[in-house]
Amino acid sequence: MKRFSLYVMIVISLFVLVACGGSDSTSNSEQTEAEYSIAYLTPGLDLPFWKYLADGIEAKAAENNVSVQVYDSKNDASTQLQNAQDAITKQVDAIIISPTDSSSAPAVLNAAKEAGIPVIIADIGTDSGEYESLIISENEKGAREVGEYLAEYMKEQGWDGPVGQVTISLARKNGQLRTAGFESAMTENGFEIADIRQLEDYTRAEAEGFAQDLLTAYPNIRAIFGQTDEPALGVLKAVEGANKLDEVAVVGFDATPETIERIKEGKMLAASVQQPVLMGEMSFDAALSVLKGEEVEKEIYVPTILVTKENVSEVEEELKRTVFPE
Amino acid sequence: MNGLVENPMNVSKRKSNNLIKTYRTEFALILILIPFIIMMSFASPYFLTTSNMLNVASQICVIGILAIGQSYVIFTSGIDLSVGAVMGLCAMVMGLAMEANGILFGVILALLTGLTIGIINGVLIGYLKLAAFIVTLGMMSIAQSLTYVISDGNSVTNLPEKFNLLGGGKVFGIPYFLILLIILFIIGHYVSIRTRPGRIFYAIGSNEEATKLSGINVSFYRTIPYIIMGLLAAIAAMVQSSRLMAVDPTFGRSLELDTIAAVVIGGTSLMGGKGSLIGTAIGVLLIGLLRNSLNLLGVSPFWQGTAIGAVIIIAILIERLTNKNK
Repeated sequence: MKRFSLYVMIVISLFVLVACGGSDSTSNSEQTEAEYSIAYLTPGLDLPFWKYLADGIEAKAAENNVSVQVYDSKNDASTQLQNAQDAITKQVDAIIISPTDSSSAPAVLNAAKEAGIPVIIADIGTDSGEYESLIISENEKGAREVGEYLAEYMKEQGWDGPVGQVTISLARKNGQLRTAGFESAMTENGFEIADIRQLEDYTRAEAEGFAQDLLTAYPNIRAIFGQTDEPALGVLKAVEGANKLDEVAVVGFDATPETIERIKEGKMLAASVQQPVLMGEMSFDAALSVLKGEEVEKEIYVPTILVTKENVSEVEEELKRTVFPE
Repeated sequence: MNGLVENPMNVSKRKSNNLIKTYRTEFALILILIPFIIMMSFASPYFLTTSNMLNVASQICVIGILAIGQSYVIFTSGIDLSVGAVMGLCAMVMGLAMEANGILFGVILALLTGLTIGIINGVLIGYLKLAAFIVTLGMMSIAQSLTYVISDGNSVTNLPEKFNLLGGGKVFGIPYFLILLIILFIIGHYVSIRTRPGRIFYAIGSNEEATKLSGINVSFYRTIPYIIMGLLAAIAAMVQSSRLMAVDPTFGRSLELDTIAAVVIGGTSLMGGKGSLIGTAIGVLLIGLLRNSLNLLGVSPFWQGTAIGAVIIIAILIERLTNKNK
């Protein structure tokens, strides 16, 4: 009998759990009584960049009385499609998606098209399929700028060694552009690319391991480019750990508040910083325009900001607004 | 051992009123599942709709197929941590082969890949008596790595149009993959309770020594579940790639944990010797419905892991409570 009552308790507590979930969501929707509802599919909230992008969308949505639900794809194409299906079931008015990579987007675009739901793509890009607008950073230009700054610095130092890259997935369009932009800046200035390593998990630990390997395999390496925020800090940690801060320059793409601190301290040379909050805001604006029946550009570019030791104090305020909200 | 007495293989020999005793855990799970579905249908108007249920079906299909094999493995008190990675490898082999030489070639090559890996896993564990946990952990790493080797880290996106039939085609409104999943479950269940090999799987998990003494070739029968698992991984790879019409190298990541969770939620003991595919089917369904509900209720992605984890623990608690009182 005791066991039976325990079992009943479990069932009841499950009920309560579901009931809480249910009442929660209804109270939310009553509060806002939103005009439109939008789903945002993010590749993975473990990377700060995507969280900032989501923050940008959510902030703008709150201003405009639109409800937003964020779905986490956990860097998995199949989870992404499942989330898209769930959002379509909930009859959202529009979907904003940052695809896990360019090849996984078409499946979502097709599902949305079947349901007649407009899609805005925020970053990454897609291999094929129909969408309203693509909002993306000037990846190639940004990578080229940070590459040119690095080349300048290396010439000043009289360094001629090769450089390495820890890249984001080269299956992503932005990965190809960043890699190409940096490479062309380096080769035009007479520097060689020793090797590249491709991130899979986008974690600091993974990038640290890759950078350690690069330092070991190429003892004369003079700089490493980390292509996104957390991994760039992982690269820095590896260089610091090898006691090579004076011999190897670290440059990055994207920034978290920690990146800015490291640039101020002079440990990191420079970073080309995308503006995820601004990108989120612009993606939301594009989605809202589509819903209101207005024309939107097929491709909208978000500029990057080159942050160096010289300009870091000037741009810091701007970064706090458009790159990482407090 | 209790396991043998409890075993579903004895169902046929017992009176029907013992059915409830034999499938006690399964009935307890259904008693949770049904109230859960009722609650959800009140909490969200979209939950109990045909389109949403078909979505859930498409979302659980891959886990479901893999969970059949995982159940067999766990019946024999083994474990297969490589399923996700093997599925990823099969998908990549298939994708590349299909791009070059057409659908049939890709399908055959995928099945051969799954078969080969299954045999290697099985022989190492069954005949060479290595620990299943370690062998399959190693195989997970190998399969993941080979996926990157053969794909060079790129995605395959040019799958033949016709291949979409499996993931997108329907007959009388029922998707082909769902029919496939149900057929596989029926065959799987039949084999596990009505055939000699099926009974031997339970017997090995329940008491290996006694099984050996009764003249059964334990090494051979220990190998079979891993081979079945490999083939099912290839089939799951087909479903997954056909749904997404793309293969990327991250396919299948962390699916091994999802399948193990589904099997355990279904009342199968990790110690082997008991459980049933009916339980596994309910476990898969519960995970799928729960994940879908959390999305429909708008639960933050940060909280979803907590909810799913809690359900796994509660499910094991139920298994413990329903199995002790005899």
